[in-house]
Amino acid sequence: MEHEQEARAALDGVRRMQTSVEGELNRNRPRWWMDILYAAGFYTVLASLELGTWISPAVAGLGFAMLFLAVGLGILRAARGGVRGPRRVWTPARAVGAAAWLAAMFAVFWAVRTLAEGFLPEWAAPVVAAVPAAVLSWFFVHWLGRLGFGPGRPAARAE
Amino acid sequence: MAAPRFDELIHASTRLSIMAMASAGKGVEFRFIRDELGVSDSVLSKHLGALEAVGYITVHKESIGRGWRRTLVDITEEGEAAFQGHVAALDAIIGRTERHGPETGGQAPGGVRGGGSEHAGSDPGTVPRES
Repeated sequence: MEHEQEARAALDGVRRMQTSVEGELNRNRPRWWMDILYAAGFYTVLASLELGTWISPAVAGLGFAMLFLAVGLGILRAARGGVRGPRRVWTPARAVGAAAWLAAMFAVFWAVRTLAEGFLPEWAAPVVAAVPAAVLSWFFVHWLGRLGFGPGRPAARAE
Repeated sequence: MAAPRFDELIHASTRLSIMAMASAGKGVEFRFIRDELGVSDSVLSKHLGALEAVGYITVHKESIGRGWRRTLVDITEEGEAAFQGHVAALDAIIGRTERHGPETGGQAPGGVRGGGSEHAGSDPGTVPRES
């Protein structure tokens, strides 16, 4: 009986500590607007493809800047926490999942662009096709956030 | 699931908590562990030293710019195996009691004996308690 109580108390302690680590990760996850900034950057890069010799590189540069800014700010925010990340984030299945996400985003972009080219000017097709791809990229970065920081956003008081 | 293996070294409350945190996260900061456990720097350092000495964790410093450094704790593969084995042993102790009733003695599944310190070193591979 004494051993059982001691074992129960020890296991409760283990669960409490693991919950603390999960809470710490969750507190320092990237903010929601960083996900939006990432998706907006992804949209801008894809939408810039047919905007002309001089405009395309400038707009694409802006898009990449938004992408890198979103990732950089997320890394900086996560680095403030007491835990760098969960262990074993990248399993083979998750790596395959990430590749599937990327493939899906570009496939959707390509398919919508192909369809839109029949109705829209050449420069406008990527602008339209980038919308669903950017929405997918938001889900993708949200999924990455779940892998890296656990499910759910921090409570308002923890912000 | 890991095979149950009671480990006296990590059964001590503070060390078990350290192992639990290190198992849940990658690069757990010294300051975070200290604050969660409510212990002094020296006490935590002593426990970390004991766990590091047997190869269960690694402790390393990381520069975070502007001359600031932080100390991070990571669990090793050996430490993870020992921790999972110990948790399985605790589960086995509870399972044994639930099956046999609260006043029943006997040996736990997987060759695990009891949960108290009086059983120190009773299993193969058990790490002796350090002071």
